[in-house]
Amino acid sequence: MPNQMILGYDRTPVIVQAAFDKERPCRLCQGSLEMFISILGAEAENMALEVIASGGVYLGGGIPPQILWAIEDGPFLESFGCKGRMSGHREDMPLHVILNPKAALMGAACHAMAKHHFTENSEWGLKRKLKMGWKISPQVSDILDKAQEFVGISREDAGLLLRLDLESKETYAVMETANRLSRKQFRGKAESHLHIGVNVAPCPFNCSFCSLTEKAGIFKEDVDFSEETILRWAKMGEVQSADALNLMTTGTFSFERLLEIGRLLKREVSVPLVANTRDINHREGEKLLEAGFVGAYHAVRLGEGVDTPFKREKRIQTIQVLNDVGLLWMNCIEPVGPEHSLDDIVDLMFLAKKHRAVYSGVMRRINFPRSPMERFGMITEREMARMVAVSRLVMGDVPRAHCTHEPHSASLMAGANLFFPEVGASPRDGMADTGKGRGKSLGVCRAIFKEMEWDPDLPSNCFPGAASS
Amino acid sequence: MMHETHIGNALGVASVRLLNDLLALAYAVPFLTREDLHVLNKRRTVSGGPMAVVAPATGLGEAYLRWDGTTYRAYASEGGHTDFAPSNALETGLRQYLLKRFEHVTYERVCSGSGLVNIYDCLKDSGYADEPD
Repeated sequence: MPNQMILGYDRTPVIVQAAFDKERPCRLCQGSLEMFISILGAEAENMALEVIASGGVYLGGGIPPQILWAIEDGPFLESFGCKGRMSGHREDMPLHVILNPKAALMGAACHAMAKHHFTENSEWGLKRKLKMGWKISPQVSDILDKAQEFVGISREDAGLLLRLDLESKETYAVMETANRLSRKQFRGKAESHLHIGVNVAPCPFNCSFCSLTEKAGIFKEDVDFSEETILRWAKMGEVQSADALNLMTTGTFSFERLLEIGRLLKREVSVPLVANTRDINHREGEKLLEAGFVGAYHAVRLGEGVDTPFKREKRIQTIQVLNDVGLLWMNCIEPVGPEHSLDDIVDLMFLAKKHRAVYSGVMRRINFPRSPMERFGMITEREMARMVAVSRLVMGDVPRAHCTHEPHSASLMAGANLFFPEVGASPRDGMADTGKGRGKSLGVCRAIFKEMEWDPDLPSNCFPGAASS
Repeated sequence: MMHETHIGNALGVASVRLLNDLLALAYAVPFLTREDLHVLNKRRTVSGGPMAVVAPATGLGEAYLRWDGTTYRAYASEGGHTDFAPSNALETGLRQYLLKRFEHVTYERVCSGSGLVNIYDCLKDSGYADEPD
């Protein structure tokens, strides 16, 4: 030992080694180390008290990892907490030893990236690390911690999440949480509910976001697709394993005719049928059931009563009718544009939760040719994905699926698992058959699902017992 | 004397920032994962709470982090150069011993790589135990 204690030689590792020598432990080195550790504990506590380190005390540098078990053993924890009256504070402070010898390098890189000193494409390969350990705002973190218990979030929290910077790490955390909830609750199932737009009309109700209106001036006369055409679409849906067929009609469309089409499809195809029609009463609800429909899509739209001639109360009544007669209620927050206030959007999210929608995601308003709302522009898919995520968190354990429309990949990483492929008329299209226009096919939807690792081939979660009927 | 712009010019890099080693280490703390850390006491971390870094190496480095509402910011500290306060007779002896060698006995003198050697010398000279052969 004295031989190694030559001047200029780094004696530190030698002392540490000799203290830990199992066969011939050096008593002097052991005593030195013990004293060292006790002083380290006291100084760590000094520092902890100076900054009130409720976020934790971290021991770094080269020495602590080498003397880990000695630190754990006693004198350290004893002296970390000997500061008399303040020892209550210390009790709450988490203590860690930094093991990673490259931590300082990593820190320099993190700092550089945070400051945008490096470009997005930097080859530092630390981005993943950066995301994994990313600490987000405590307020958002607390909301998300609660949300992942499937209990929903409060109105205030939903408003807060919708107001976060879209590019912030907090927004990514919101989407990640919603994504996780949906993949767990829906067991990885991707749903495709095929929209069949049964008729085109210059509808006199003139909802300003709809292309199938007199005012829009795109369609001069009614087009009722023939039963043959509708059946062909329905069969195509069945063959391409659509999980539901949604028969979409304008407010002017004959209710009796919708029932006829329902009865026809019920006979000819085995896919669950969902109706989309005007406001209905209990008797009409029962008729839908008798005709073979299992559910109805019905939304209180944003701007209802302002951009539409319909009363919000009446729309809600219909939702109650659906629930009363035993039709599944399907919903969407729609049609969202930059002109809508976040409070109105949040209101509709909570309406969907209150009346226990089977699904209630987000659909954005699309600018069809010469739309009167063109001047507002449209929200981006990123904004949709964020709204999809927040509405997913609001819904808690209520929904059986979560939709986004029109189909796009961003929302599939933010809690959505349900697309509406489209044929026939669409209220967002200038083409009579949206299958030849904006509408996405079942095949395209499948491809996007697979790309985002959702499985379209699992059985639907929306219609329990549908397969046997 | 190293200078950020000189380094930038020499390397042909537009932006250079020099960080001291402790500040760099502190910036890593919010990103450390479970594998990077050894937990000494199981306490719940208050998210957004201040964090302290104490790093005994060749010297004694200290730094801390505070949440600014969006992110953690790291701050350097010269806490290693504050006076060493002994908390028992043995440590008081250590301070007396080192006062003969140094004008100030700081924490760095007793809580770092060289600090461990100082403690060893003190214990040896005070006859705490024999130095083995």
